Amino acid sequence: MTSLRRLTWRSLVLATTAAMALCDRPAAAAPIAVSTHTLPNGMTLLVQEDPSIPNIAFYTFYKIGSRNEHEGITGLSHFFEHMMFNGAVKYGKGEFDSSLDNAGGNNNAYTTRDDTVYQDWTPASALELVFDLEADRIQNLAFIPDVVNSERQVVYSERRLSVDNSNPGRLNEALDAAAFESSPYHWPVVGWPTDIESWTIDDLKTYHAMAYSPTNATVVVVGNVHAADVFRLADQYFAPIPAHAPPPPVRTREMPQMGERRVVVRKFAQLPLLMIGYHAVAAKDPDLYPLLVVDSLLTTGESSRLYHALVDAQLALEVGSDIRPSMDPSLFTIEAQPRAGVQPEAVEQAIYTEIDKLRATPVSERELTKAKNQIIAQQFRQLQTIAGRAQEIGAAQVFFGDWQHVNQEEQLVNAVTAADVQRVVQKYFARTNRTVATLIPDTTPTAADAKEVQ
Amino acid sequence: MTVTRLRHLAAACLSAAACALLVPPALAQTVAATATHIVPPPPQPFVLPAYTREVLPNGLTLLLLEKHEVPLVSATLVLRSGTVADPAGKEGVATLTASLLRKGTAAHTAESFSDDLDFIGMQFRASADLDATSVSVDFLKKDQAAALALLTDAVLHPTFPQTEVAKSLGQLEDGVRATKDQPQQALALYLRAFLYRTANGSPASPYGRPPSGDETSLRSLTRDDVTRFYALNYTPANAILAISGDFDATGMRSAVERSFGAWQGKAPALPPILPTRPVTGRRLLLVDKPDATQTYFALGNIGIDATDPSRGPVDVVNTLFGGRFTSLFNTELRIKSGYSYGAFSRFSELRAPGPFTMTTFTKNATTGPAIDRSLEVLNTAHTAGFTEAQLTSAKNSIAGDLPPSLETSQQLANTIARNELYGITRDQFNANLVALQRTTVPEARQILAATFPSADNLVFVIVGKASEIQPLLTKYTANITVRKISDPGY
Repeated sequence: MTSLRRLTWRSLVLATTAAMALCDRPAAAAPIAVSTHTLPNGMTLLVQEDPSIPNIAFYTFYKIGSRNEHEGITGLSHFFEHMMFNGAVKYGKGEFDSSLDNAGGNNNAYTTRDDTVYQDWTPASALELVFDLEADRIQNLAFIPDVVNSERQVVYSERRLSVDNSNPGRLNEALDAAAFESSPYHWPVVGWPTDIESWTIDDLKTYHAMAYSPTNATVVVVGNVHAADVFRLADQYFAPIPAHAPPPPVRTREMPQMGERRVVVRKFAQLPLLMIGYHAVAAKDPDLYPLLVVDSLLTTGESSRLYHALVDAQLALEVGSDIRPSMDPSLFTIEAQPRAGVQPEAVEQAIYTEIDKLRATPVSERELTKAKNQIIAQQFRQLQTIAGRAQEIGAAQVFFGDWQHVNQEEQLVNAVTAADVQRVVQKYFARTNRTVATLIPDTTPTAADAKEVQ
Repeated sequence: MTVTRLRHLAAACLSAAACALLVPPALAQTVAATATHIVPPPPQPFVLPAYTREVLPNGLTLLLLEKHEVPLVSATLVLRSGTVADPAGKEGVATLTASLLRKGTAAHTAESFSDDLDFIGMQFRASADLDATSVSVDFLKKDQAAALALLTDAVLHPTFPQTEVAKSLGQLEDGVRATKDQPQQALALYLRAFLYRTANGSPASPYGRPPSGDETSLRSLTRDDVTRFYALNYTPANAILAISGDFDATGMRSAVERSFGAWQGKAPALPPILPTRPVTGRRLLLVDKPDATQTYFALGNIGIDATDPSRGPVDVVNTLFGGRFTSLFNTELRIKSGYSYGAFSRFSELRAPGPFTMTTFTKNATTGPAIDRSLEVLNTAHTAGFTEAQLTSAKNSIAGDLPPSLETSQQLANTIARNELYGITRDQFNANLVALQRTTVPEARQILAATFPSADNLVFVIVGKASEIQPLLTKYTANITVRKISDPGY
């Protein structure tokens, strides 16, 4: 519940020696085969051919997100993502969407702290149209003042939907702001309200010039295409885009945390909410895999430890946890909705009791295998669709620097030992390393009358 | 943390896509004629793949669809009894029964059941909606025997331990509270309750009752209610088992016979479909959520049923009206005005005529203008209709979206089970896809007149901060009901 859209990390299955050695392990799917092509201007193309349905998933990943912003322009990456649909030179306002609709296609986009991803899903026959549309907006985006102001209202509405009028959204924002003092993960992807009100057209233009360079883009096409056709069209449509410098590196890092932090949000609500965040790792840290196993042990399925200790024990209505690949070290979060009449502190204590058990006693071979099986079965499901594969191939390239990572993840998960699990729990799940955010239901007139900033 | 443009905001609760450029027809044609724009050919026709259908001697309807790209299998068991089958005053019992299936069986405690299913990375879901109860599992091919054993054990041999009944009931009660903390989710429940209520407030159709119960009904539920509901409704003659994925049909058929063959029982009588006529005139429900900075509203009336012969053409028209991002409705509420992050319309697909709804949200200060604009959208559609070019675009959208909606075993099992529930054969499903491609401009106009409500005949349901928005609502109707979100029920 920390995000509007869960893009949890999962991936492929590759039968390896380690994998075969494990009992109850599938050894079924062939490795994903990807053809690659790099244009002279630095843009990377990755293609996986799959004729099983007559469609394609065309994803463009830009390594630009809210971590590349600074105070005053928070939320600009996401706002820019919206503006990418509001008209360029060849295809004017509304024509990006209408052209794809007319061709039987569909599109969306999302922005995270680390990247911005544009997604087109179309019949394979619309491949060239997608190239034409994407090339047009990458090079020739229009910045129309009226459109900027109207879209600003749309984004504010999105903020109200996902944060201001959402209990988990609001609490998550408070958690991040407290847990990250110096890292750019301190501010929300959607932006602070006053920044949303204040972005200018010049901010947008500067951002476009800085972020949307071909060297900063990875294009993934999966579906009923031939890689050679995709590369030919890329040479025609994308190669002429001038190369320029990628965005400057993000300098600011988070300082080590030196003691527990607690934050309270008082808000009109029927039930309280609890979120706990522990500073953890970035994507490329090998401790990611034991932490994924911890995530599974704690909250995946009704046999998980926290389901048992919280939901089954009637302390909480639901519980979840999350760790996902990120450019900079991010949080391992645990979230729970306490039952009516249960104090959030009681839920919090029950969570710590379970973490203490993991810290003190190595997990059994069967439970470890269960956690790995759950992760790997979930990877299978994610990779069933052309859209799921486009996402995973692109994420592997962006977060791990190599699309081949999709073919290595199962091995990396399977290599995790009970000792690894115990070690990462001892290393990251320390009291001094955690931030605890609690939403307390408040029905006083003050809470109900709280006005929004705008 | 991810923020999306959420083009599919509708996806969770709204159906097929659709939409019209809100450009005037003349301009639309100019755009199509622009030589430099690439105009791809229409999507290739795509059909629901073949599957076998058989009624076993005990009355169980078995559907098998082989699909071998990925080593996964999905099975969905559907009972033709949903929340509509809840006895009056016992709302929530279908949902409670479904949630208890895995919480103690002949062969397992709740704990060992979960442990076994999690060990093989299997997914298990059981839930009830208005017309049906579904139990679905998704598992790796190699785990077929273990997965079928768990499914059979849950469906055929649940023991409903009293301690688990009490726990699940408590969770459902808190679930009502949690729903009321999520205005979008609550809105849909308030809308149905208000729409399917007669003018004097009594329920006109079981579709108006809360599917997961409410603060009052849940307090009355007991283990006896659960066992009675189970005995009556969980029978093979009332069940459809749809399986899709990586298996051999002959072997799977034998495995199903072994697992489900001994199951016995007659089908209960289907709950009667009460005649529901569209509401005439206007009535408005305001649900006060005093902390809201954004108003969530739905305008609606009673629409068509799942097998209505006009369903295909209605999808085409609704695609243009409010079913996709570029629809008339979203264009006015989001693209042109910036009032909202999203505005969508849908016709529910149910055994009896389900709701037609237009839903969106906007900040408190623009509540009035956003409602006004929504009403204008309805009027514009009725007076202007849609052009040939717009209809072509909608048909392409529906055709292009179809293959990814039938891509996974899970999607296929759910689709064929749902078709069977409503008596739609594969041939009819595929014929409907062809027929909707023939929708003409006059037909679309006729559908707008016959199926889309006029702005004079509407139910309004509004969740928001009453102290700010109530005064401006009187201009829509004098027939206003106000309640607090914390009041029991919907």
